[in-house]
Amino acid sequence: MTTQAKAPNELGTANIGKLLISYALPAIAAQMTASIYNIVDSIFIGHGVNNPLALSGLGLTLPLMNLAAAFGALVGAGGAALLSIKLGQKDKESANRVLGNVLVLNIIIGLTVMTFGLVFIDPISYLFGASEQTLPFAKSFMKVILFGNTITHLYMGFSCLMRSCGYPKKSMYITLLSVVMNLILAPIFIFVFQWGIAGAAWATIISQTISLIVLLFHFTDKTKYLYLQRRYIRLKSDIVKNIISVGMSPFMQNICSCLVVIVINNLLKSYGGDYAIGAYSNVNKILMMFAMLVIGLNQGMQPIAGYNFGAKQYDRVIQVLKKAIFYATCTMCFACLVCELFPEAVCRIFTDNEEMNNIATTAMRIIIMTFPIVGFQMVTSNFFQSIGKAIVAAILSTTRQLLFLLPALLILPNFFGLNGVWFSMPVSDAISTILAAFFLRREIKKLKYYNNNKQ
Amino acid sequence: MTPKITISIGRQFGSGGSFLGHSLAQKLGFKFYDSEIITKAAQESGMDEKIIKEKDEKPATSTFFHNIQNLIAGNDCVISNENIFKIQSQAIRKAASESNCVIMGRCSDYVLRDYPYCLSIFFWSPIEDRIKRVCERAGIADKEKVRQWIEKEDSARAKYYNYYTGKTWGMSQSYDISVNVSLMGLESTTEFTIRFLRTKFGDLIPPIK
Repeated sequence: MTTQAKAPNELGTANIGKLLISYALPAIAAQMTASIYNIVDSIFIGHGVNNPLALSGLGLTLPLMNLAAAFGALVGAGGAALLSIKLGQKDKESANRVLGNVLVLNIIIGLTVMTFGLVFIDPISYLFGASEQTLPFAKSFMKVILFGNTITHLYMGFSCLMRSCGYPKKSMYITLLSVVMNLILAPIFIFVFQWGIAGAAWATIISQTISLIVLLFHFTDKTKYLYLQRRYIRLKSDIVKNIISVGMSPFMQNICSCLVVIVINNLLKSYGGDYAIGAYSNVNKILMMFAMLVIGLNQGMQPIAGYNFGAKQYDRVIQVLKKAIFYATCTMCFACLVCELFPEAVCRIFTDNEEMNNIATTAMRIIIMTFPIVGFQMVTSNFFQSIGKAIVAAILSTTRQLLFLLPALLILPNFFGLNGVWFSMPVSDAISTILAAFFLRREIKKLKYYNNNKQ
Repeated sequence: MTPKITISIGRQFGSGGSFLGHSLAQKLGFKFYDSEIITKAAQESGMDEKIIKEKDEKPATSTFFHNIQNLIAGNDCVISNENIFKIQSQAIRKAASESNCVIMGRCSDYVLRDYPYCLSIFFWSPIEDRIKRVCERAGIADKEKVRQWIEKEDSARAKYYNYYTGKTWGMSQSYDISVNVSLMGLESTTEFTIRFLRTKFGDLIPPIK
């Protein structure tokens, strides 16, 4: 909100390359912090717990993380959208009401998930793909995370709101605070106190608690335009309805990725055993780091493409798209090169276990095969999002991670076993990239046509 | 400078609200904004008129698919529903400050809620009367089809209004006055409204042309 006043002119006139870099760099930095923190956490567990199955246990908890993110998005996205409307209309009372509703909703959902999760922790773990050997690890991690579930929800919800009410920098510092706290606490808990995998979970929850306290200081400060007031801390049905109606789609997307991970982990268990789950968890963290670079780039592209599309400056739209595709492809080619040439070295950062690393090496080599074209796919699907074609964007983003992936996962392993599971991913990547290219070609033609027929 | 009067009109589909808005504007010499507000929003913001039109009076949730990446980045998509609504609101405020005017729908009663020279009216009439009116106007005989059309339009307007204002569309407390058009017919309702305006704003309302 603070940048909006001056941003438009700049977006419509300044050099596209410079704009893209200045908008993308902060986003990339934010994505990288989250990603690196995930990797480091795995490294601590891999080297701090004297059993590679701890990494498998960690991999098993990924769907739970997706689920937490899904509920965070349900309340966070809807709340942020509603809040930005109310702030735009200077409707202080309704904005404060939104704040109160987000608080209550998060607490209700958080406590419900916690109770449900803790009661059914065994069947849930088995559903996620746990075995007798990995169950203790998955369970001791999940117990702590579920216990602190409400804190996680509140932390995510309020940092989302803080961004949309005009404090994007402060919100970023608070996120950074929790990451740094985590990086300090995790090794203490794991290496010094010998708490094992639960130590990593405790570090996460405690650092989120600290960040949440800082957030609550901000949101209870009576000198601020917005703060939590007791009379607004209650559910109001129309606000809840509006929050949920907007939050529903990001919620469903997260639920889908949660389901896909459950399917993958179960397939890995039956075709490759517990080590394969750990191996995939490790590989996935590395791949996510590269994907996050492109997601950060996309976030930088979004306002530039959106504004210029709105202002009918189609040549600038095409220009920023081309630049983004170029940078994304370069990044992904680099990723592919590193992982194809030195897969053992990359995998060894998590664990020294030969068996797990052998699986991880093969997996990484197969999955990353299509990365050079995946950058293009990711930029394209986000491009459609930024020019307001939400349906095409949704089709493109769901094909890669769900619509093509799921059938491939259900078919290929029957013929190729464990390798079939790995190959499902590049196969789905490749097909969805072709689809993206098809949609983009049509759109570019249209844009060029508009551009030539502008009055 | 004399204050400028704004008449904000909410209306059920087929109630004759557009006609009333038009004739009020004509009789009082007010500027009339229906879809014209979109053109104004486009001019003020430099935004493509087509894009604003796509989101006009449509519920925000019709774009069911949001991207998860959008969520992480915060909602700074320039052509998001929220931002378009903001641009349209700015155009409404500008229109209200520039000249006497009639603004049809678009949550203008909410946008101008703190503006003392705005009167908000909701025009409605029983469903049978509206079906009759729409049948005549559009030249359709099939009453059931028209009923569905009316219900669809009203439901879209209600969703849009309720989402952005937090009030309830068509509920009497949401407006200054709410009038059943069938009670007196279009002609007398126009006259009644003008008398009402004159009682409230006195000499600020110009004589009838």
